[in-house]
Amino acid sequence: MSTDSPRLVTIGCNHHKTPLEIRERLALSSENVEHLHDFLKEHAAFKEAAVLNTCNRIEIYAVSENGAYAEHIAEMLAKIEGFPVNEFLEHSYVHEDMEAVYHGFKVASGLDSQMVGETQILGQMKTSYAAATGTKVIGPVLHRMFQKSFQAAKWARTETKIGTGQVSLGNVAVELATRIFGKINTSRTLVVGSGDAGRDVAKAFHSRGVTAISIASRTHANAEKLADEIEGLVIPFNTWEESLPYIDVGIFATSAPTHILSEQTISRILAGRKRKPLFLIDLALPRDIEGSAGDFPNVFLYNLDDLSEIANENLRNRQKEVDHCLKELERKAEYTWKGIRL
Amino acid sequence: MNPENWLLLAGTMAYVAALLLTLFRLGNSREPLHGSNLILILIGWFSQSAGLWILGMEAGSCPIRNTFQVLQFISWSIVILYLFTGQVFRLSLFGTGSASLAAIIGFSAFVIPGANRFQPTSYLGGDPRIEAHAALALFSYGIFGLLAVLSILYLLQDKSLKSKSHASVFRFLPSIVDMDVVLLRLLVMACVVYTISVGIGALYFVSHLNEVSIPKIVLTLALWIAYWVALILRVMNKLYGTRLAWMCIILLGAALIILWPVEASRDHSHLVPAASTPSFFQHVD
Repeated sequence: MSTDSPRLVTIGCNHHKTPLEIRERLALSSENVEHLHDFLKEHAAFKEAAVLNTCNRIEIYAVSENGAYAEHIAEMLAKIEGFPVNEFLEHSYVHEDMEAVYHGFKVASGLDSQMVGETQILGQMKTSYAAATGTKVIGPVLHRMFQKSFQAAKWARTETKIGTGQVSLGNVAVELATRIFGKINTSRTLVVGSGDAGRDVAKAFHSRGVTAISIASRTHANAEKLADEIEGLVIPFNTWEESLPYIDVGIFATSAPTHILSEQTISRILAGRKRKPLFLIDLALPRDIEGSAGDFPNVFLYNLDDLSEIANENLRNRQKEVDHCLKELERKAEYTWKGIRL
Repeated sequence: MNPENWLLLAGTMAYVAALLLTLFRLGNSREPLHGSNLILILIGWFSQSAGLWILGMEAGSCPIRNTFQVLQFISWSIVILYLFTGQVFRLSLFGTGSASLAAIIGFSAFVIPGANRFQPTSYLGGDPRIEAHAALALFSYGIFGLLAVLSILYLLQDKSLKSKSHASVFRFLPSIVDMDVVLLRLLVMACVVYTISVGIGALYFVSHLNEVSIPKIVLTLALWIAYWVALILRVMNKLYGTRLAWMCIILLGAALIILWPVEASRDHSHLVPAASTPSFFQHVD
């Protein structure tokens, strides 16, 4: 870092290198990201720059002509956030030139994420790229690097198993619902109980656009809290059974000591549902739904073990693919780096 | 082999290529390449169309003069129906399924002994009504084929969801609800086209009663009634889901079985002078 020749650099903090309490203190508001863009634009040491700011990482991609770029960025963060320069330098990492390109490819592909293969980071990277382009702090080198990163991410997603299958219970349940209903945003969903597992799965459905969600819980306050989070409708606990003929998805997560939904009840409600499929998710332990309820045609019953098994299998498949994916990304990064003129 | 047969074989091979490409992708847990698949299916369809066009020009009529041509025409119908309906319904793997069935039927035409035996050009009796009837009847076979393809996809999806199988191939299948909707639409289409075909045939035969083969008429009407019963029960929500899917597969099997006695009659008719040859209707419903 002693020479002053131009170089492509990445400096930042993420969940691999930086403890959570440091990342919490360092977290940038969108306003401060703009300030950082302004500082980078005005600073003579930086020809180009872009800031990637997510819950797990703050990274600055830049083209610098000054070997002391890390110190400059630490000083900027000290001015904006009041974050100590030395502390930032201690907990941050730096990648230069080809390594910076390779790092960008890994980040965009979700290989550097806490949940390997997740795709949210790609959207966040695109947003950061758009913001940097908007402030005209970005130039030809970073344009190329970001575009190639997006292409690499697309390759990883379509040509490898790195993003195959969902790895959280909520997303596994949503994927199953999609295999049953196609578009799930119009699916009517009933949540019975407000335990953590049920809450997570309900949130996953809400995040995929499901708006018709009813919540029934013995503890009314818990139901209201969940309803606030997912824009649901609270119904009295003793009326949930009456909703069954009209719902598409039922999420059960009560702490009841025995079944609250029997095979007999399912049989009765199916008579009124005709050919509409019913997706039942039983997240309770002991189980809320009698196991034989899943034997009826057009009734698809999954319990906690079923969902966990799918999530774990998907995660194992992703892990198996990591090495192959990293090697190919490195090759792509080398090729991209050869085409970059600083 | 004639140029037209090479074209028909090339068409069938293109469908096989579409199937193999998808199987290769699925085998590696990768998403099927819809664009490449569609291009292969289109290549196959154009090649098959060219082959059938040459045969049609030779005959001066619809190229359905013998078992070989009938099977190729059914295979062609399945693909053209997919090209129109599949792009509207946008069901994943529907194209591969359709191409597979078209390939199986297309290959059968090449391997069935004596399938390509020459038939007199007057085979359809030279009457445009009976030619339209026969062509529509075979076209409806194409719809029956698509119904069966979709039914198989439905059964696979249902089975995988019920058995909690999470093999990646099942993720690429269309959803249960989407397939249910398309099954109904195809069933309506099958009933309408087949009814028109039977109707045109009936208009011809009331004036040519001496040419009517009673067993063929009975089988034709039985198949026609069976499809209508399936449709009515589906609309009444009495027959749906896996039962409807099995019904569509069984009905396609029955429809194809009906073609066998047709060939037996055709062999018999081969001995009859062209002027009094029984119409194709007797053989292909």
